Amino acid sequence: MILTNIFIIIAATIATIITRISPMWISKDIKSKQWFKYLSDVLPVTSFGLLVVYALKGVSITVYPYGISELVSIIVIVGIVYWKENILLGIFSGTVLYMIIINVIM
Amino acid sequence: MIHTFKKAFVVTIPILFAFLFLGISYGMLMESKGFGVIWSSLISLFTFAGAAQFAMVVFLTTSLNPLIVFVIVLIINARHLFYSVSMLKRYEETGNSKWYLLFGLTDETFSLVSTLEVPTQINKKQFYIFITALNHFYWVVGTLIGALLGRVLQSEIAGLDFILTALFVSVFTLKMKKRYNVVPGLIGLGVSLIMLFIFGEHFIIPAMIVMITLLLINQKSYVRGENL
Repeated sequence: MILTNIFIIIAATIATIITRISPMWISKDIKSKQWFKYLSDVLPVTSFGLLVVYALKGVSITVYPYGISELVSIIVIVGIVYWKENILLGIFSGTVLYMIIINVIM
Repeated sequence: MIHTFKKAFVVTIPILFAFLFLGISYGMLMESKGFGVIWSSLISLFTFAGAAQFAMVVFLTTSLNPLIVFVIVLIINARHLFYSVSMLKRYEETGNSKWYLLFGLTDETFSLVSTLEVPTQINKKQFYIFITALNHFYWVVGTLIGALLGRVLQSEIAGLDFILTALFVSVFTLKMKKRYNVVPGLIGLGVSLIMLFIFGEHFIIPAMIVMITLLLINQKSYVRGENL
């Protein structure tokens, strides 16, 4: 278990370092390619779409409370971030709201 | 040197607050999952990648295959490739420090160093190093405080996990405000959902393959549309 965790950390660290340092060696040829620029624009938002689903994969929509607490909190976060363009405000208010819903209301 | 440090400190103040808040959340979350101060602060020191570290909390608790972790983190952090590409020129004269500067090129550091005009009387190299190191320092200190706070509070705080979802949803929403991001964002969300229904737990790799294929198809129509 501990060994697996150490490998997970090493894997994540190496992957991060690769994405930040390897451009020193990527040829100018590839960097100027249309598809490279295109993917650089759109991959971030796509991967965050995946992460949203990944974070929610444990939520059950068939048993009480049918994921309603998550849904309500997410709607509020989307509203706040869209309106205020402030990520920290979205994280803070969404998490506090969720905690209130599951600890106090339900 | 002190003058340069002060200048660098002033510009990083917004990041001080952001990283303390996120770092504390991260440390507390890790502590609540049984990963104490040593784990979380070492990860913050070496991996030093916000979104990836939050995603890693789940990977650690579910002991996900490190190779899959490697691929996922590559994709989550792919955007850094492009940050580094655009900073190479500015960092050209920094010699061996370039390694550290690129290693520490997080979203927040990039947003500073890529937009700031360095005053002429200031040593550029020192200025960049101070900014990068200060941000790195805030992140590790935030994590430490969070881990210790989590230990003191002891009792599990129900719902704290949601901070992870909240972080991803917030970043996603902000990115979706850009028009060219809407279709790729929907591809990311939609494909992941469909693959989750088909493959269950292990949907990530098939989802990524389908996503990148669809993105490349979308690019063709995008380019064609532009030429018309």
